[in-house]
Amino acid sequence: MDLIRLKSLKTDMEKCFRCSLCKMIPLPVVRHPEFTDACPASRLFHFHGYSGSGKQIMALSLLDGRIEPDEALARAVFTCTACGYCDVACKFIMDAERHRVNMVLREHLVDRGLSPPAHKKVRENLRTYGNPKGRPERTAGAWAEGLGLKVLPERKAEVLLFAGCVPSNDPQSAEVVRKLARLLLHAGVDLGILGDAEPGCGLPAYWMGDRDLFTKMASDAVSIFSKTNVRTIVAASGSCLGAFRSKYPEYARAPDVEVLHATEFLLRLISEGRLSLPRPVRARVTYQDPCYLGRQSEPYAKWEGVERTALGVMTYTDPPKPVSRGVKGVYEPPRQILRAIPGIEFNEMYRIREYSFCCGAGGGVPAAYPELARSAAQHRLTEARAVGGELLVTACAYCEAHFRRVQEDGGSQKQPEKMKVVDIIELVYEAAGLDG
Amino acid sequence: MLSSEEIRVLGDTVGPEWVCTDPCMMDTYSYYMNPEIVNQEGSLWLTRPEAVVMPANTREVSEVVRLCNRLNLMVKPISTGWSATAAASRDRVIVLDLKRMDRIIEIDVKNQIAVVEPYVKAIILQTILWKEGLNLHVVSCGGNHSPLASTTSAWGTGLDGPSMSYSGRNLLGVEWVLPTGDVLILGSAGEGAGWFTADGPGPSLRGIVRGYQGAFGSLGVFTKAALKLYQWDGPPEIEVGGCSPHYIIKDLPSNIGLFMLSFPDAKAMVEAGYRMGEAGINYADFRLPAFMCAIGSTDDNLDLKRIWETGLFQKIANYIMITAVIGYSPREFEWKMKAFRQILSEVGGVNLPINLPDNTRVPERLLKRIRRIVEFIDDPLKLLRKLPFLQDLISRLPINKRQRQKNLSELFWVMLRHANNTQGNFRPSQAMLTTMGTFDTWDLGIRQSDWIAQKKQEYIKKGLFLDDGGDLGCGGTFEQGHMGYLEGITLYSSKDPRSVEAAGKVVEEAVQACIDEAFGIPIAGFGQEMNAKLGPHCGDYHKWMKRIKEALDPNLAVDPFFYVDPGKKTDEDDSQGG
Amino acid sequence: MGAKEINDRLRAVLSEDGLSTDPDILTLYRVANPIVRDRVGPSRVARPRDVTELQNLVRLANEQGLHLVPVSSQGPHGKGGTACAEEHIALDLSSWKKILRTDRRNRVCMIEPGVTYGELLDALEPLGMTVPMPLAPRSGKSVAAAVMDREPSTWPNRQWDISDPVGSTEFIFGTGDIFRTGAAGGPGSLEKQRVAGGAQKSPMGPSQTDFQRVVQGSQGSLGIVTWLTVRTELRPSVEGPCLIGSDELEKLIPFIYGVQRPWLGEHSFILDRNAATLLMTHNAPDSFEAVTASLPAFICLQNIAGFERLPRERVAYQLKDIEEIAARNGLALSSSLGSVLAPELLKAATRPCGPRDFRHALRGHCLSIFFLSTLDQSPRFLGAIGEVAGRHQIERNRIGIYLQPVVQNHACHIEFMVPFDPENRGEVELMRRFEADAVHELFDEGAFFSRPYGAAGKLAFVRNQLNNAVLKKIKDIFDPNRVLNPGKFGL
Repeated sequence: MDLIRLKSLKTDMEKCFRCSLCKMIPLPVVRHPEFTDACPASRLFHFHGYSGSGKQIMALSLLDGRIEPDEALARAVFTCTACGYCDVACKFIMDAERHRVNMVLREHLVDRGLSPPAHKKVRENLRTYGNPKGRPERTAGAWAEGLGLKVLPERKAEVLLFAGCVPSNDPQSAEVVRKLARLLLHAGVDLGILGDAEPGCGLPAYWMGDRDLFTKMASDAVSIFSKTNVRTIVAASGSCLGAFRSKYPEYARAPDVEVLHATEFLLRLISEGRLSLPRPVRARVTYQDPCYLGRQSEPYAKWEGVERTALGVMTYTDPPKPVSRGVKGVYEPPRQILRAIPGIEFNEMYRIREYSFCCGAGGGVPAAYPELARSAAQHRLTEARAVGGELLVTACAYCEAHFRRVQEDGGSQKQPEKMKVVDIIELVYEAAGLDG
Repeated sequence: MLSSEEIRVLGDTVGPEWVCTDPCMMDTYSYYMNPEIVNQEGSLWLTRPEAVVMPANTREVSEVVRLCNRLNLMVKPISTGWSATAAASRDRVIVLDLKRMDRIIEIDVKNQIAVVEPYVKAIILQTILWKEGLNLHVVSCGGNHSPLASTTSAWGTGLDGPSMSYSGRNLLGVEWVLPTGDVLILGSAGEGAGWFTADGPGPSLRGIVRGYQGAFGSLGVFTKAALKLYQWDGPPEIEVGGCSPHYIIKDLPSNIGLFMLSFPDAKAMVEAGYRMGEAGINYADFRLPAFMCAIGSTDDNLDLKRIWETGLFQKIANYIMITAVIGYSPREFEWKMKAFRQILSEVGGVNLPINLPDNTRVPERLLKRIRRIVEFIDDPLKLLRKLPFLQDLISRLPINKRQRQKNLSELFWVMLRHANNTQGNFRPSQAMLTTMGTFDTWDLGIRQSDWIAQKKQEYIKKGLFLDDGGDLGCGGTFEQGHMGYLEGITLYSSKDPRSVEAAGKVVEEAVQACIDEAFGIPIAGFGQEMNAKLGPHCGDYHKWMKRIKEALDPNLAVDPFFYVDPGKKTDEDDSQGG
Repeated sequence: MGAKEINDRLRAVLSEDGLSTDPDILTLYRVANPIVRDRVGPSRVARPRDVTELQNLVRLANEQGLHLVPVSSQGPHGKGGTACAEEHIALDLSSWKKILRTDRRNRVCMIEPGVTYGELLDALEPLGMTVPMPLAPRSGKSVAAAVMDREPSTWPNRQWDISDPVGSTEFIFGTGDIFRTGAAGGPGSLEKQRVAGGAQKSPMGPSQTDFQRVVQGSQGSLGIVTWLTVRTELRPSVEGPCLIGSDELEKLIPFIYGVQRPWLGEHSFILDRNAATLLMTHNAPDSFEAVTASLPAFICLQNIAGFERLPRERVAYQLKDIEEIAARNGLALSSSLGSVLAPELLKAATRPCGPRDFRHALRGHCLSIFFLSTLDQSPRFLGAIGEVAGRHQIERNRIGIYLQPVVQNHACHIEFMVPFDPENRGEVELMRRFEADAVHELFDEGAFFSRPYGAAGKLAFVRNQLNNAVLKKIKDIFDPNRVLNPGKFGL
């Protein structure tokens, strides 16, 4: 069955003509010679197979019966942070699905039992505990202790705050969600949570090519959301938003309520005058666009049509297939918030928005290929320093925790001075004057 | 298959992690653009290399080449690796992927010289150079190509040819790992005098390194190249807004003019090229065929189909030259623009108002209306041709300013930043080939373009090539009009073996036409098979090449396929000279 | 085979009067440079009438082990390119004087090797064209000889590549094989190529070869040019040459960089007062002292020109732009300096100077040491030459200096001129010692003797042995029997 899915993408694979544009940011936006690579894996491992193009070619080779699925192929395929940049790069010039081929290739390998050993464990954890780390150190709702939040669906609220799985094992991340809750309460939002019943969003299953598991987790989550009768779900982490907005509709079904990321919702509160940010935050900041808040949160648009031929051999889709270039991700709200905070000096990095460089936390890479995950983060931190940033702001629990851990672990290489990494919610919290 | 001992010694040289033999990875080095130049039967897959090795420096390259001499292996060096010329041609070939060699060794701002390694990409070098008021020639495959490769080893025609010449002519120095593994530095750098010339002392071995085409890695590995740089009077950096696929430049400096010029016929277009070149006006130019204009004006193929079927582009864009004019000073810009307008008026060229409708989907009703109107008007630009002041007037109208900025940006990306070049042509049918493309005069270029346009019709009628009207002649002038170049693009389908086969056939036919019509050596005129075909009509150059290959590569340690294979006999093999 | 038999065989392949053994005539082919040692004169002079004869001659030379030294310029031959240590036949092509084609549209001409600059300029002028040329070449100087030797021209921003202005060529290798390069390389006849719209202008090819570059600079040791195309330029219709003087070279250098980089102006070079005076007074050497005394230490000539389109406006804007660059460097443009007028210097520099090298007029001969570097390095070489001159008790102010930016100022031809009396044996010996010493010193300072003559001939091939080894392989291919100028560069 998985081969059928791969076959259905063969025309996309064949659209690769090996120009290697998938390895670097779109040429018009190249600004700094050190920061032009866009694919963390290609940057570190160099062999062409690690690039987006390489994976298309390998998938094609597999379909053509030239290669067998094996561990070498699995390594090439899973040493990818699933950031989706190659997809954006290719669609700058071509209407071909790259990310989808990468993910379906993963799924094929998982079906063939070629998942990296570390992923097997993570998937088992997800299956058993709904959490990639296994039995969480604290329950899913523990972060909310003492806040007096309504727990849904037993109680009713207009807005559901979805905390995500990271806070269960990461006190700092838990603190971020607490601050978000306080901000929302402060703004008078009728807020509820799912408490210990909050399901995992399942994104790690998607990353690790476990199609069935992800589909199940997505379906379960959507069912739970339906029972809450909220008007809006607010995702604290960018990763969850990407899953809800882009991957759920593709693999299961979209939540039937409005789904927003915290930054989108906070910006709404600010513009409605329900939240003000009077207190200056003196800092030179730069911002990391999380992949699943940015390009990978572009709403999924289902297409049912056929590929036709005109003018002899020109192919076109009828009806026109929407081309998802990753530009409809959540890019402006975090920036508008940063600009709204007095005292902040905000400098953009060289790779931003749809062509942002992945921090290395995605794709199940930290578990299976930590050197790649570390290399990506360190490279991104170098870029953050290069634009004069003293504070790296992000909007995804995965990114924030990963940057932090990489700097704590250090790895074998000599490390420059640590850079403080914060979730944007912390800055909003401070600027709102809620930290006393 | 390499033995484990061979893999081990290679690993000892470059580090085991930089030697790969996995079949899946090897297949990513046997799939390139234009496989039909090798596989005439239409397969997309080329020879799978035995291994891919990634050296980090010249010493490692040299050692690997020496090993190949010892182990009866061959190397095939590649840098960015796009076309099928990067592929191995036979068993026992290991690909040297030079991606790790990406250092800019030196930029001599004063003397306008950059010394680079193989994987320095043009856009990166250009980004640095612009800040120094310098620029480099970038070939039309775009800013992600390796200038070292185009300068030492491949071809290299680009849109900035009027002001920055041809890649092969911009080579000021080269470090060359010979097929024996010895490292030769040509010219002044070889004597430690600096990288300012690759010729001499006495006879120039630069004439062995390459000709119109390079040796495509068949004569060894070039590990450093000194590139001739040029003045850049544009901005040191550019502020960009917008998003994919339309990045927009916020401000275009007042000393840069970007134009889309439409001419009534080929003669007028050619004349304009000669006159502008002679006056030294054009910084960059490019004959943009009508179908390519249509591609650039649309974001998807359905739109392309609809717009093309109106016939509008065929009427207004058959003879388009996009042109960039840049002035060193406001005075120079003013003079150039005055001369530019004078020439346009002499030859009947129209500076197309580029605030054309936005390429959001045009309603079917409007398209029908356009189609009906276009049917009855031969030259929709007649009025603008007769009254040139109208062109300026329309360009200045404040309507649709955003759209104008978008179109200006596209011209900037294509002509000056090389950020959206050949790759865009792959969208309609996912495969593109090029033929003709000999290098001499602009007149000759147009003749070739006409020939291939006619020839393509046979295949278009059979449905094997995209029906682009036939004429996809692309090229421009070089060195202030001193030389000219046009190649004929064909869009075909890589998914249809019959189309791929036809692509290979048309390349053959174009080469034959170059022989029959005395057009010159075409862009595809290199490599064992083409040289064997063309050589007898061109002073038997292939036989001299064979002797050179034998002399420089006695153990055949470098893949000869895209040069001349000394193992292959030619008819008069031993009849001449040495 | 005896001399008579050889002569008979030579006469058999050459037309009547095609072979000369007259000692008086042979003398004309000796290198007229007293500094050059081992000046073995030719034993014969061969003058083939056409390509067939030439090809037969080369084949005969291969069969009989004869040596041929091609000569295209009329004498006197002063630099030593035709010097050959072995017995040889001077292969004189100086009477091949056809200008085979001029093409205004494509700005190119096709000439035989004996065509001189004066002859070519005369042919191009009515068409509104001209050709970049070396500084005031002697009237017998063959265009082919100059451009195939990569001699610098005074028009740097029209030289894109060091091989310019050579376009396509036809030559005969040492094997006797005829070969065409560049666009002329084929396919098809030259006529058919032209019918197709070609003009044999491109120097590249055929295909993956650029053998023209290999033959270029070989001083006749790899191939004999039978014709070549030369890139021409539009002839200026309006000119406004300027002089910029300074007693400090370091002040002029940034000005040159400033003007050359955006390709402002046309002809451009720097002469020191001695070299300038040598050029300006070669017809009246007695005025040397007076003229030289009137000049600043260094003079830059910067021509500004208009061509066919808006010529006056062009001169006007360029003049203003160049004035600004001069002012930024604390310099000013003048129409004259001392007794030298800018138009006269331009005229002297861009026309043939007469039968004798202008450098020789003052003392009867002149030692020229020249090499390539970059303009910014030139003060270092001036220092070095001054030091060597001091060691040899040669007054610094006897040395003329010529700095010629080449290849759009990516490199610079640096030339030192020391006029001397060729009849004075002591002075000749001094020059010989000085040259040997100076060349070593300059070489150590980073001078690149890309066109090695005299003492540089051997030295230039010492450091890069691998280059020599490869050159030898190439010589083995193109001239395996060492027929052409044997021993040149040790090949």
